[in-house]
Amino acid sequence: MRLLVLRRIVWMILFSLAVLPLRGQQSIPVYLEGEIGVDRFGDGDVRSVFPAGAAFRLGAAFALADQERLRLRPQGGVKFFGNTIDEEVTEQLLIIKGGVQVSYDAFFLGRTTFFPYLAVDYNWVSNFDMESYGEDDVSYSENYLRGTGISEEVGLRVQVSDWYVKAGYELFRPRLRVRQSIVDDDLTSGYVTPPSHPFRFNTVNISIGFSIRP
Amino acid sequence: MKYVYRKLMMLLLLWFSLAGCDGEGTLLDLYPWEPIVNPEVRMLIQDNQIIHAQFSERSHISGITANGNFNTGDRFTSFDFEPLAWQGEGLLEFGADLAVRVVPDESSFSLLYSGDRGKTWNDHGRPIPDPEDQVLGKISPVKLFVGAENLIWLLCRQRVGGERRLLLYEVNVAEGTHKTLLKKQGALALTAAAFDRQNGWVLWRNPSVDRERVQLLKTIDGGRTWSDGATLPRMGDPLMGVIDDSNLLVFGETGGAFHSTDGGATFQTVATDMGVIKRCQVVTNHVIYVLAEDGRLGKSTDGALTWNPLEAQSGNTLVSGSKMNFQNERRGIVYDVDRMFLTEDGGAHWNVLIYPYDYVFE
Repeated sequence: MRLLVLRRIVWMILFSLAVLPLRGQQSIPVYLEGEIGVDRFGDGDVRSVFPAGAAFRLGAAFALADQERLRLRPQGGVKFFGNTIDEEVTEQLLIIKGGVQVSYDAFFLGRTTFFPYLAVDYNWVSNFDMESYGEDDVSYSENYLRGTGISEEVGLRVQVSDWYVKAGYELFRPRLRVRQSIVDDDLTSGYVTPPSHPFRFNTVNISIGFSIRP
Repeated sequence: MKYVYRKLMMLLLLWFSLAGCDGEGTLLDLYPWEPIVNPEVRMLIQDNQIIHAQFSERSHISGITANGNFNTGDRFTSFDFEPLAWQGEGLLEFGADLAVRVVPDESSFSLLYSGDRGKTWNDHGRPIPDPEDQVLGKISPVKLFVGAENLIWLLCRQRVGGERRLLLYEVNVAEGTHKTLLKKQGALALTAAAFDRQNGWVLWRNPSVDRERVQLLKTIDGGRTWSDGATLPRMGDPLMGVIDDSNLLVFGETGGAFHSTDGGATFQTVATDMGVIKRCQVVTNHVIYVLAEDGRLGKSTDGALTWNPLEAQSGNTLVSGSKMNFQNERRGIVYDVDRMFLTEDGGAHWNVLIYPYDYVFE
């Protein structure tokens, strides 16, 4: 319950910040930011299935209050985890994300600037197989698991010139629904399978990215 | 700009390919599931088979398998198993707390009974048929009936010359006594049942006179006198269900069912829509369960006037069996040699207690 209230407060703050730039768009500096990174699950069981994943994010950061040190970045991105089952089949975990990130130009050392940040994303999760029997013969299975959820991420960004390195920890516990045919098959085989189950998808991530002013 | 885009895409593809690592198992393996039945029940059905099961206490189920006895108070989440080689030859019937079997021997038969689920068998001892009857020809038991208060009826056939003979005995194992209730010349014994020590019925036919008719005999004084009842169409292996001293059911092997409300004087045909009925348990005067030859369960809630086949299913598993035991009108089990199902609401919903799922044998 407390987590739900906290989430609502964070969303309200981020929404308020998001509409601020609309009032004076012409006077607010906007940065185009993109990053790629590596993600690793915190939960050992999930990590044993997907040892590492790749992440990609893109957003437009608006420099706001306090002498443009506060940055608000509406963003979108994907996280991808693969697990090679055999030569032809790879299990995929795809997380599509959309949300906002708030960062603050806290301090600098020489040319290096340090940005603590907080991000909240809405996530669409799908787990499926990709079967590949050649370059032109690729097919995808139905989702085994799918679901949505909100994630929160905290971290630190270290920026030099237009480039930055970012490290963060994301809290994400989506409730995934299993495909109904799997529930039915399990039942026929003598197993009771719940229709949904929460997964601990907390991740540690490290990214490199750019921040340019077009 | 195009150069930057190409480089960015190549970098992304390289990055994503790094994420295609070899993991262990799949994410679906982490999804929880629970086996419906306790895999330990394998000891009851692997190289073994369930012979009998019944409610022994409020929610306890106890029973007999070919290799031993079991007892559970928590729907087989845990259970006790006592290894025991089942001696099951002969005609077998179970009462509320008594197992009885009749074992043929060279000239006649022996009646054995057990009050401890087959651990020890007591021999009734005394030869049940009269010596003067034994010399007439071999006596073969065809139906053993164990009723309330351990009332035991034993129906036998005898061939005397070219003619059939019916013999019916009542055995009192508590007192170690028995008596002959009926001897009938020219009668092929089919089945017998009793409501109490006074009221009972015997079905018979005379193949040399009328092969197409089945006759009913009734006693209301413990077998001292017998009166003729209704005549029914031919049925090879009829099953009787006794509701009370005047309400009687007869199920034929061709699927016909007959209901009498006057103690067997007349019968009305009733439709069960269940095919051949192999088991019938009268739980109350109104609630009666039947098991069909194909394992389906049927129920009447109006004293056998109308019947409803129960669409009994637990998950994707069809509830079926060859035997049943209902403790009351709501709680009962249906079982077979390798499966057992439990209902707590009169057959509307079922739980699988024992079933030969693959994982049970792994």
